[in-house]
Amino acid sequence: MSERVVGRPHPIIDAAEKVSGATIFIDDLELPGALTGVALRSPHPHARVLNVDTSAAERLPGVAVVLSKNNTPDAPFGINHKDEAAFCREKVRYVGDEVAAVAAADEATAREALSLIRVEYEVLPTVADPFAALEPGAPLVHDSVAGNIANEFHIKRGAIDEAFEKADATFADEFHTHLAHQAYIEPTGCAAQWHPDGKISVWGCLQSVFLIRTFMLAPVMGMSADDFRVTQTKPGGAFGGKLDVKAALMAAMLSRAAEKPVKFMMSLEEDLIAMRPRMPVHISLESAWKNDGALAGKRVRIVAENGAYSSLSPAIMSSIALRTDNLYKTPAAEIQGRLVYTNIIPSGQMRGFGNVQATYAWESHLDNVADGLGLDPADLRLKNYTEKGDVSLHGWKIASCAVADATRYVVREMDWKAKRARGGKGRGIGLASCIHVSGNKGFSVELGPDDTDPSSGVVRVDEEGGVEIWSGESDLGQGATSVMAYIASEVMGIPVDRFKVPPTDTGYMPFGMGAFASRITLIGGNAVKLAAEDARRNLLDAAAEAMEIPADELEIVEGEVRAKALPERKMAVGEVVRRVGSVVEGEGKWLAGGDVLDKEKYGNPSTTYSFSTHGAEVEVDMETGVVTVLGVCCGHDPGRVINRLGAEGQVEGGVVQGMSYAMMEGLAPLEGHLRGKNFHDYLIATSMDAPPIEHDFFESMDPYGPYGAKGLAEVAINPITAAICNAVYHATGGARIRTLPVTPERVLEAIEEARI
Amino acid sequence: MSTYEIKFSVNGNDEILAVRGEETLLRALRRVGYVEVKLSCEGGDCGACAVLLDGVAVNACLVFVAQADGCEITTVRGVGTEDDLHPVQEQLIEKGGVQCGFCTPGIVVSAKALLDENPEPTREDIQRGLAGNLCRCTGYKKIFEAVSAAARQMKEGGDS
Amino acid sequence: MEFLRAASVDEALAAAGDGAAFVAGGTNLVPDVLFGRKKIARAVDISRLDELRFIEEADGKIRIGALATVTDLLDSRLIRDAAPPLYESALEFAGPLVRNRASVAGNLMDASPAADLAPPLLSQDAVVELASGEGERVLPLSEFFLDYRKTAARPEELMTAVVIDPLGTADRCAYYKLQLRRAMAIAVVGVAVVLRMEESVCEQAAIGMGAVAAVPYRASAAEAHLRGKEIGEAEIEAAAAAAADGARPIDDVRASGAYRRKMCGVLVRRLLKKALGMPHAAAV
Repeated sequence: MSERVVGRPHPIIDAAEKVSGATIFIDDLELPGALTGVALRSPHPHARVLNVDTSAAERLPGVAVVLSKNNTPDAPFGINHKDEAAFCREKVRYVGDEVAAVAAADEATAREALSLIRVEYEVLPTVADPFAALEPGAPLVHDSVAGNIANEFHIKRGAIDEAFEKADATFADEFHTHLAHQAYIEPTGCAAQWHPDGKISVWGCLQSVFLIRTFMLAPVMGMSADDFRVTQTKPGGAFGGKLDVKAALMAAMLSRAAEKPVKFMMSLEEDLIAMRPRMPVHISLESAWKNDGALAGKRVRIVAENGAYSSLSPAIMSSIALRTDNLYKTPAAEIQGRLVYTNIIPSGQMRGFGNVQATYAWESHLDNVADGLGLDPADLRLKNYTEKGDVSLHGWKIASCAVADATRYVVREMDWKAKRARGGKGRGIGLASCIHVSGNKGFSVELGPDDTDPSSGVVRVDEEGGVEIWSGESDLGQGATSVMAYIASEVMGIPVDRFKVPPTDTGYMPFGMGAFASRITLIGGNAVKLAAEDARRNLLDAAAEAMEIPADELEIVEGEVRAKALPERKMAVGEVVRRVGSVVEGEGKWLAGGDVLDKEKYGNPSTTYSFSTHGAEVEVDMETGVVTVLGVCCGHDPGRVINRLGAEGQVEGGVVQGMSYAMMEGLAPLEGHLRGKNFHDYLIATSMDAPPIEHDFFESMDPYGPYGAKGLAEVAINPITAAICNAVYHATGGARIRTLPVTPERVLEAIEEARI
Repeated sequence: MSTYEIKFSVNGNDEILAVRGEETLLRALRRVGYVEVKLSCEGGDCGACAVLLDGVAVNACLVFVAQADGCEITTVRGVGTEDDLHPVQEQLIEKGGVQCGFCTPGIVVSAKALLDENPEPTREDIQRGLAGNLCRCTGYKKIFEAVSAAARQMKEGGDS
Repeated sequence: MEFLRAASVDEALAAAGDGAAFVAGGTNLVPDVLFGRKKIARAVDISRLDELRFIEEADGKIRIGALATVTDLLDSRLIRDAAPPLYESALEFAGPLVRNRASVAGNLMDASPAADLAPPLLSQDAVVELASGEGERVLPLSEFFLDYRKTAARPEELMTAVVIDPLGTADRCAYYKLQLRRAMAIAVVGVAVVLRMEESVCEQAAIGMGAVAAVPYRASAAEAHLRGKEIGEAEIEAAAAAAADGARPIDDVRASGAYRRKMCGVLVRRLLKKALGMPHAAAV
């Protein structure tokens, strides 16, 4: 590997503006004359909306417009089910549901107007628990959806019954995960400006500027996607939560109605109670084994909490149901999933897209199995891991895989054998692994244009030798656009500090699906790499003419075109562009590999897959249940590291975010009302909680990835929860955490349960 | 509605503004253009709005702006700008201690205050010093490394 | 809301009453006003009253000015040496940005059941000094908290100082805050223990409890099992059981009442042993 740029540690390209506070986030955006938009949200988990009287609010001086079901069309939207409206119509279905919205001259007036809106509710029985929702006769969240079932499936693959009949041993477990928020520090917001030609500009902290037009703005507002120009402001964290942003719709609708620019900023409380947090799920597992530790088959039953509306939840449930089967050689499986409507905040996608939950359950179960079979948990995994060249039970094609290397690293670095021999005295270690997609074809159909999962890029070299990259894929702060700059710099021989990658903008940038499913490095990176190669060719062709040297005898080094044989014959890239008399451009597009899954969820959803193994060492206070994570050690297979500093940041951030999810987070619904409504009741890890982290990369050099790279964002978070739970199990001599989060109280209960 | 005219300096600029009694320092600073002071929790839980108030690091959301009458306020841009970065800022860049950048202005302010008080902090000192600033992206490790490196840089440079 | 900065204690007292509230660090009051949890007609800013910001030793007592911040507690050699539980509670108090503003009096006046400084102050027999236009009075902290978020201070009264007994060489003490993360956390349970020993006999015992009832309080029943006794396992067990019995904890987002009650016993047992240097199963 002789790359000049790729693989080395680099700061992210916009670090200087960020550390000096110069970055303009959505709340910092100045729109002259902008009105303030706010929403009236349901105080009830479930109620019939008998009447909405906005007349007093409309009369308040300074109020430009009040929107509600009274003056907006009945245009339901939703990615999987069209079950959500801009404003509640016949019913409110969760606390936080949008009933009305106001645009006014300032925030105080807007909030006063909200207090003047009279809503007559007939409060209905709340169905907050998914199992209660499945009971016959349970109140219906959507009157037209019998049994409250938003989605269900039942798949049998391989000789599953036989696997269990002939097994040497079988094991069963149940696990429950909680409702947890992305908890980015920047509350969500959007701004919109209606133009007299009927078109609307939208700005916001969005993960996908293109898709928000097609799945939300255009269908609800009865306009074409092209009528919206959507521009990203750099998100202050997103983690999946800023993909499905209703604030964009609120701002756009208010702006159109008021014919003025509108800024719609959510407070932190609104964000916590009315965005789309990580899905809670209840997982029953049974597995069948041979005495030597070979997995023979598994049965999984899932009840997933959809909340009030569906969003991407069916796909998340599917991910929870199938994902872990592809990490191990699984000969047979039976999978049942039911997605259940409840009167709780709609659940959605967060970093891991269900895989955090699935990996927690399965990898916790595996340690119980190892215990039962008398095998070391690391050895059990090493025996069953998938390998390069495998086609999994569900049809996943493993193009590259270094999970075993990652696990061996963790075992070595943590002094695993010696520490496993101890344990049970309040100190223990555990590990867990995961597999994750790098892009997912399913989204391309559900959210995107068709089944291509495309990305495209434009690389423009200007007359000063600067380079701008236009990509439809967005940076969420994770450094995605820096990865693009480093790839293009490598290809073009132009120093990194000459590159700019502006935030995504549908107004002039080529199409991209956006940042989710760990797709950007692989799919966006390939598109930009091709664009950079094209731009390099075009530069060399232009230079060949200007320098009267054949293009194949030229190279670009440090921003200069040089004759390979005569390095003193050279011309700065900017000069080449000036000679051409215009900007020199390159274009590239890349379509993801893999398939859209068939009706039985069979197929290869991603071009390739990434892997990781996390190990944790914990101390458990056996009397209080307080768990201290003493250290984390992990190995990741991202195919190839593009930017080492950024990759390390993904790992460290993912681990702490995962630890935080595992140990302290929770929106804590109680009878339909969330209790984690601020950052002192919704806890996330502080600097004091961050454990020491040691880690390394195991580069499998993926055949499809740019320079061999594949996704890293989500493998960085998936396994840590199970690793911590397995360490607690080891430390306590058998306290198994079956319900998240791992609070002291729950640990103490599990310790007492293990003693019985 | 009662309003009051107050005066303070922000990063050396004198500001005169009319404020309401209940207005917070955070809201007022943002209103007059110091948007580098970030608004998130407004309850003192996240530290994104940290500023130096007469040299002491505080959450701007927990101060009535009228209480700051006559004070000197320093925001992240008073600590350093792109062309004149403070060692803490330089090292946050170099060590990768910044991702989305939303918490960063507050982190810079807290780290500067920490180093002003304690020029040779241990890892634990740094952890404690930043305990009021939530970061959701980095896992904190590279921030600790950056503050530690900034301390070394300041000691060697001797001029900051 | 009217805003008035007091230039002196007298000016502050003159502006009190009629829906006024004193604001010092503002770490509780400012967001309470912003989010509409408290409606106040007038904020009387006392944050510049430097005469109320001190920590001093006088007449064998430690006097802590009302406006001493939590950071001031951490910076005080006197507190560190002569009030270790208070020092430790300050270390666990929120984070530095809040500690730099939050005042000792504010933490008590806010009257949260989980007020971090209350258990250690209670364990050191704190007395609060209250001033009003009518004059001054003193009140033991144990009589100050009346009910959930309700104190014995009248609306027009300003807390001016908190006075505690310094701990000496004959005193044994320990503190623990059970919390769901390592900083910026509201206590699940807070316990401070102080034992005054005369040879092997416990002359005085003081146990301050936080977050396990509507108010912070002294676990008097538990103390009674220790006072005047040679403390052994039996006395410790009796005190721990009494502490658990005496708690009136609620279920909330942080923990159940049952868990809190159990932890009262566990922590009192553990802190007594720690204070006395006795071996115990799991270290705090």
